[in-house]
Amino acid sequence: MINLKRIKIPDIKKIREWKGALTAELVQFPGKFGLGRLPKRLEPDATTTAVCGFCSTGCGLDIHLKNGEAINLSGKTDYPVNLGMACPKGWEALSPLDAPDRALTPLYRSTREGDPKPISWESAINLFCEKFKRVMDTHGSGSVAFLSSGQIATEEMAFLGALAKFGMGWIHGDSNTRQCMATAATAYKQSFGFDAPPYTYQDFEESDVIILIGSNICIAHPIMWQRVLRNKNKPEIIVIDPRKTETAVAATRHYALSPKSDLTLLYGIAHILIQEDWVKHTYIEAHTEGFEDFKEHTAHFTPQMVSETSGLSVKELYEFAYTIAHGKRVSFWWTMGVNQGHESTRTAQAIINLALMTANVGRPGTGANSITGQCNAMGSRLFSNTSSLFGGRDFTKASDRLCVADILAIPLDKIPVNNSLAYDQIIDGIDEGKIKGLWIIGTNTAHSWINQERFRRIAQKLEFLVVQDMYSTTDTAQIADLVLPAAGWGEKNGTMINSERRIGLIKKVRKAPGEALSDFNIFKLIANAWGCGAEFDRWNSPEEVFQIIKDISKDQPCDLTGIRDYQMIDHAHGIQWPFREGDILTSDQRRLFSDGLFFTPTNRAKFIFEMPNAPSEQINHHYPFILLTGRGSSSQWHTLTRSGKSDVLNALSPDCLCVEINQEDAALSNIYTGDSVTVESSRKKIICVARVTPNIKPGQLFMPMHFVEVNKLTQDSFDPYSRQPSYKYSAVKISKTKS
Amino acid sequence: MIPPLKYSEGDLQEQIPRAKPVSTKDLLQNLLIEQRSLTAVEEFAQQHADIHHPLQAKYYQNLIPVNLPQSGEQFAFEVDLDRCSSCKACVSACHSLNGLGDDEIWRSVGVLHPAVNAGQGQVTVTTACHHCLEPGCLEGCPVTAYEKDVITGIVRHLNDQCIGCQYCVMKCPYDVPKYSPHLGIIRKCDMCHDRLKSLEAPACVQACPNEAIKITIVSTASISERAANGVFLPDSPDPGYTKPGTVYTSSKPIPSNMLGGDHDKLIIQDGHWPLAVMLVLTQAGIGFLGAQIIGSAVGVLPTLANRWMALLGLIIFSGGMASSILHLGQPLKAWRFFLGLRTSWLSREILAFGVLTLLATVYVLALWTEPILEGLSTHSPSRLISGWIQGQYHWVQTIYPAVLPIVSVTILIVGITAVFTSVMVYAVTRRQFWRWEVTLPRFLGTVIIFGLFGLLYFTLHFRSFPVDITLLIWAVVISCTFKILGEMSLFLHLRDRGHPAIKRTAILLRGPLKKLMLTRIISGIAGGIFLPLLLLTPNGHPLFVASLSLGFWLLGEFTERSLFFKAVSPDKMPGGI
Repeated sequence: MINLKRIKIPDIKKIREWKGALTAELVQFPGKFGLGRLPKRLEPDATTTAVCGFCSTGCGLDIHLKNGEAINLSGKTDYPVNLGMACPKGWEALSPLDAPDRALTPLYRSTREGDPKPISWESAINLFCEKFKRVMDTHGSGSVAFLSSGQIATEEMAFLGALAKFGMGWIHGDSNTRQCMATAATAYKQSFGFDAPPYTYQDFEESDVIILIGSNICIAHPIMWQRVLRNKNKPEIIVIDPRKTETAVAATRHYALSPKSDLTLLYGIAHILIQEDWVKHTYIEAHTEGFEDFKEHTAHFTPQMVSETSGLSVKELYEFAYTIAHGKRVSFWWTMGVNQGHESTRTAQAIINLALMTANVGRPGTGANSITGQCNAMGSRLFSNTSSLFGGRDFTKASDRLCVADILAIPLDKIPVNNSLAYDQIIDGIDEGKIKGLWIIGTNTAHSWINQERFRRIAQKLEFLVVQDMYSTTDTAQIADLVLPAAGWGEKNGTMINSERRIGLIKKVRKAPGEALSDFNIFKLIANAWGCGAEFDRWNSPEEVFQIIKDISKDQPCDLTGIRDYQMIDHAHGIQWPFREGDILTSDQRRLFSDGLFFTPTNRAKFIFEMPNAPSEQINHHYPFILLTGRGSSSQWHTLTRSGKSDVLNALSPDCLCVEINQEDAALSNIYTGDSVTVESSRKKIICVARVTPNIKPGQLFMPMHFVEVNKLTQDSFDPYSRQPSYKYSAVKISKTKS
Repeated sequence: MIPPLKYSEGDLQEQIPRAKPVSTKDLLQNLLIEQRSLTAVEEFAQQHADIHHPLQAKYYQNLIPVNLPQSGEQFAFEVDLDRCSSCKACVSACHSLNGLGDDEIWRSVGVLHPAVNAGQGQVTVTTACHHCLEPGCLEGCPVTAYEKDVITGIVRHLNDQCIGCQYCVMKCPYDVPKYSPHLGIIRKCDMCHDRLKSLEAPACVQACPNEAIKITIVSTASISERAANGVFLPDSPDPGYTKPGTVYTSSKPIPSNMLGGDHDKLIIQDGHWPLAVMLVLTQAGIGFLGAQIIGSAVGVLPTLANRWMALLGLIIFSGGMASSILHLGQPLKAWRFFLGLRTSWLSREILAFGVLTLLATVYVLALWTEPILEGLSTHSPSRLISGWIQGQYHWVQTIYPAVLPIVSVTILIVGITAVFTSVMVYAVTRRQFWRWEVTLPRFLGTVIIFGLFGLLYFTLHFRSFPVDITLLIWAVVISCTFKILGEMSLFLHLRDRGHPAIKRTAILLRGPLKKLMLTRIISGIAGGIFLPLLLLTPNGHPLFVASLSLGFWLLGEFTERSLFFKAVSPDKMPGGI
């Protein structure tokens, strides 16, 4: 329509206007800072590097600054992770900061039925302390818990973990990394003696066989796929996934195994490798233990039996095993398809076993490599003081407690002697009335938790629910009693650790809106008001806490003591752990175990295995379909609290929840693409849109996890070792929606 | 957005007092100030401002040509479908590095799904402007705001030349030109020609992690050949129309029966209400004028009816013209419309309508000369002036009988031509719902029916004149019935196999646009059939009934024309992500 301000009286002589204000807006000028040409409006006066705050790839982003404030960004060319690239979420990282629904002040709801009202920070912090203390006074220190996030800085996680457990006397606290990485952490701890993903991204470029298990990296980690495509060895790329995902299409081979037959399949491959004597005995003898028992265990997994269970032909099984055996540098990579399973720890270890028995560990282009989910899941795993004591230690070990008490100069009795409850146990605890107060930081449980409705129901039993988030509109913030407004990525300093153990910096390049404070500063306020401010007088700024984290890491496998300070990280474009005091940084692509020495007491990696079990929920004639869930697109991040705030990302994402169904199944129910369908599990019934596709096998359905309805369907079962929820297997039925 | 800070920067204390309990208030004050202070520039070493060469060039230098195209060649995007992994970084980078509006997107990524249960998986397709050999946008632009660069072949858009008519959006089969309501103009991909000029890669090329997009030099002969052989992508517009330059390559065969991810997605298009109103009112106005001219020629209308009917026709027509201006984002630049006459039907439409406005105004003034002069002479303050006026009166009486018939015939011819140009504006877009077999009967039907309505109304109004009104009523009823039935015949396409565009239109009209479609049918039947038939029965208020009838019909026509825009299913590249 007409914009009166823009109307100018035309000049008759200019019959074709090649120049003018509208043209000038887009004209590019030679860019400084090595950025190339940019429109005038976007010319920065300085740039600085920060790592992306979405996924664990940990891309380096060049933040374009004007008067100290971020106006734009682009991939950082000489960052060793992404080589100047970024996925759409990275490109749009600044947009969610400008969302209109940012939480600007604390909000308090005095009754559950009432609307939340803005209150002052002082009142909010007083309420926080008062209410939680009252709960603890009445029900004990085990009656409160916190749920944190892999999306905040390591320093913030460490502060929270120390504050809650050593300062406020809480015992229970977990993180949403339980939903993505607990399995990998547990598997590595048991097999390698420490939670230590051994690889560096350069391995993608150096393998001649790349095996991706339950990992759709084309859209989940697009920048890692970039590294795969840069591989000059014409690698064989094998994708193990029930669905024909984007990655399966791009791979050289796709094995569409039956859902949750992964453990059996992997043991079956081990069986063939052993039978054909395609194993590296020298390596096994020198660096591992438990192989003989494992050999015996795999005898049961004959090709015929595995073929029946997995749906792959015997020929395919042999092909698969042959390729592993004859690859010179075979790398195994897994993500959520493995981690989010009912026996995920053993599955991850089955992958580790394959790498160990074929000596594909510690050399370039090899490894049993877990691709992490969240940007700082790796920080959370080591330094959040939740599932393990600081620095990958054990709460139950007196020596570890002593060590931490010593480093932090705190009384030993401040350190809990018991492990915290895991995420699911905390929720069960609420249900059982044991946990009465919950503090959720930077995660959206009411959307992401498996069998979500149960959580929503149970949350009503809480006496006090605090949600600390950037937005007052998240599903979880909406049911909170108290909302604390948090600054987000880009509004605070700190470090994050990516999948390949690289510590990178996030920086404050935007002013937080309203009275939002960084999580770090909120913890400071709470520490002070709770009455343990003195105990945290060394915890003054993120950088000071980083120095504490260094101390905590000393002599652990994740030793960071060689990193002087933030400037050093900035200058080096991220530094991978370990980096001990006195070490000299010679390479930006470092991997573990090149010496074959693992972190177990015997320095040997362990073969760990167990008989597979069926998922606890089975399909039956009422619910004849297996529902798979997973990443929907590269432009969506988890529960969409941030990525859903960008117009560009929304334009690149599906606009409604679609369920993928095979055409044979669709034909039987007379379902066509675009039809409204009802998908129902024993827990809930939801309505969505059908997408008929050959990419999914008959008997299976797929839904992207980003839509809030999906986790109303999922069945809450958990891996017994990692307590990670099994999102990838629920029994459902589907029918055309009756209008 | 950010409320003013309550504390001044000067309050910032270097050190928060340690180990001493501080009040929440004091601590908070410090923390809020700290939260607002941006220190990244001071704290960290900077990339030097004087690096003028693009650092990323080392990765993309092989993806752009070092030479300019020779004669008979042009630049083109080349997309390696094997390498496109659906990450969509190209879209974001284009958006960020070109400084586009918040929701403005020049590139898109879609997907092709296999149609049968074959081993073949999906194929993701990144697409932007194809910098066609015969660009539809350029051909349709009424003000030549498009330029196909003679050297590079890049189809550039002159943002300051654009009048925001959005006709290029309708002409481009690839959904490339994007209208910015905020700027009032179209903007589109220019292959980052500024960057290419200085040997920098376009944003999308720079940003593709998989090196799936590059710029190549292709011969125009090869573009034509590929277009002639229909070589492009499955479920995409016919390349023969505009001859797209983009080359899609793949090592695997791409079966031609693959379907875009949004193949059967129903999208309601913009209703373009100013255009809908413009089309209905100009056609109604032309109908009134035409019917008046013919009516008066065959002697069925009295002089007074002639005057009022022509005047009303002109007013309605002008209302339509005024509405068309509201459609433009930059109406004051529209005077350049004649630049596109050589190729653009929109230019021709504007010309025809302009001439018609002029003619109709002269004509109506002529019809009204007598009463105007009479009035002036009666109310003249001086006898001298009134005498002079009466002298002119005589002159008018001599000249008009010779001139008026010529003007009348010209109006008829220009009027029909103008409606024809309107039909062509839409018919040449190749959108199935707008092809001339659909558009012509609709537009012409509007002209004829409003003409009949005009005759009916004015005959009723000036009852003194004996005309067989029954015949007129039946003419209205029959033509309205035909028009409505004709429109509803579209539903026959619901039985078409697959999902051709015209079937999508029919599904839209039956489904998401059902309410509007019902409004159209009900008001059409009420105004065009039921109420006119009521006139056949004896009733005391024929004029009221006729007015009501006209009102309902008008409402129905507005709805019909709005649906004409809303229900069209344009061609586009495979989408659906």
